[in-house]
Parts: sequence; structure tokens; C-alpha cells
Amino acid sequence: MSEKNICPHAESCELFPQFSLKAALKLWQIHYCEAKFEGCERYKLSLEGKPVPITLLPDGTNLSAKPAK
Amino acid sequence: MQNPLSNLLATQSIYWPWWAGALALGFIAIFFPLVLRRPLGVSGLLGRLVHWKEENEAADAEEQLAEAGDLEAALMAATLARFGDEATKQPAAPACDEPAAADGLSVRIRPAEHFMFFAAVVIGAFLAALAHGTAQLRWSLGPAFEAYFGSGPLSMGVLAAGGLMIGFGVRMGGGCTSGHGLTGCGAFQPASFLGTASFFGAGVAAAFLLRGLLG
Repeated sequence: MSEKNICPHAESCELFPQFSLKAALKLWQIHYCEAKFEGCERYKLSLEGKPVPITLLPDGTNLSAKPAK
Repeated sequence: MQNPLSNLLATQSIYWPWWAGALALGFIAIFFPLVLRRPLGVSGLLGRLVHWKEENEAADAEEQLAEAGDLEAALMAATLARFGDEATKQPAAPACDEPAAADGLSVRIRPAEHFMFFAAVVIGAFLAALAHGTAQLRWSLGPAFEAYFGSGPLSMGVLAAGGLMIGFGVRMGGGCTSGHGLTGCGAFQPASFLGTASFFGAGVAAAFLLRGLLG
């Protein structure tokens, strides 16, 4: 059985549990948290010791306060 | 003639009993995360003060999102924009193989409130010393320190260098005595056990080395 290479910051990441809410949201975990977490903008910001806003997504985009229709 | 170690032991009487400190530290290590949903870590809090501008921006963004109401809806919209067809092909049911999302997001604390924490640390220490009758303005860390480094410019340089090394070390190690020692070990985090053992072990080794070299 292959072991997932999960992001070491997953436990403290505020978005990680949110990505489990729906199957579609889990795509973030599949593409970032369990794969190329080194490319996650949240991970990179956290490594710099800077605050990681919950609005920042792994691909670097920011969650809009008003979701697109 | 007394050696520096016996001098150091003699100064222990100026402190409160160890068990009183342990109870107070245990209390705050439990209630800080319970109330604020964030682990206690003094160096981490100091880091947040240093990044006050980014902290305020993050807090503003989170407040805007909270006012909009639905984090999940915003996340879904961003997911569709990012993954397109791949997202729409996913089943609508929740991803049940993972634990449910946290029942509430942690509270982002504003830098001004972090500053209050540090002000309270200083005030609390002063009040404790005042109550114990040992409050006085001193430029020395005590006779043991003076025995090694005197009380002039050398001692100032040693203190500044020590402070820099501590600051560098806690950022490299991801925490300090409160973050790893109190919160991390209390949460049975293996990294915190290793971190705490490392910095206390290094401290003991450095103390013995100094005794051997200077004592």
C-alpha cells in the first residue's frame, strides 16, 4: 500500500479540513496537500513565518467575499 | 569562596515556589487555546507582531469573508474556477472518508491584541515581584552571570548576542519554550518533545561547558 505524501502543515492549515466538506473541494487536497504541497502558496507563506489568511488558496488566488455566480 | 553555581542556587529564594509557577503555566497552556483556538507560543506571537501589516490584512480579508457568510460557497466557486470540468464531475455527496470540517474557524487576533499579551507578561512579572517584595530595577542577571561576564560592556554584548541566538533558534525550530515545551509537549507532539529535549539539553551542556571553561 502506497503511503500518501501529505503536507506537513496540513494539521495546522485552516483550509485543509474545509477541503473535506465536498468531493469537489477535495480536489485541492488531491492536487496540493497530498501531491505537490511544495507548490502550495499557503505552505510557502507558512514556511516564511508569515500569517496565512484563510482566504488564500493553494494556487495563490484569493477567495472573494462575494462568490462568483 | 563561593562558586557561581552556589551563588545561583542562593538566588533561587527570590523566585516564587516552583509549583505555583507550574500551576499558573499549566492553567494558561490549557485555557489559551481553549479560548482563542490557537496554541500558546510566545515567539510565534512575537512573530505576528513583527508581521503586523500582513496580520491586519489577513484579518480584514477574513472578516469580509465572514460577513459574506458562506465560506463553503466561496470555496466551491473558487474550485469550479480552478478545476473546471474535473470539479463538476465529482459526486455531490460529502467526502466522508475524511474527518468533518472544524466546527469553527480559529479567531485571528489583531496585532494590537498581541501587544496586550506582551504588556500583560511584563505587568504580571512586575506584580509578582512586587508581591514577593523583590521588585527592583536591576541591570544585572545576578551574581552568577556577573561572575562570568562582569557588569560592563561585555555583559551587554553577551546578552545581545544571546538574545539574537535565541531569536534565530526559535524561528528555525518553529517555537520556543512555551510553544514547544508547554503547548507542543502538552499535545504530545513528537517534534515538540524532540525540540524541547534539544534546547534544554543544549542549555545544560552549555552550562557545564561554561563552568569548565570559566568556572
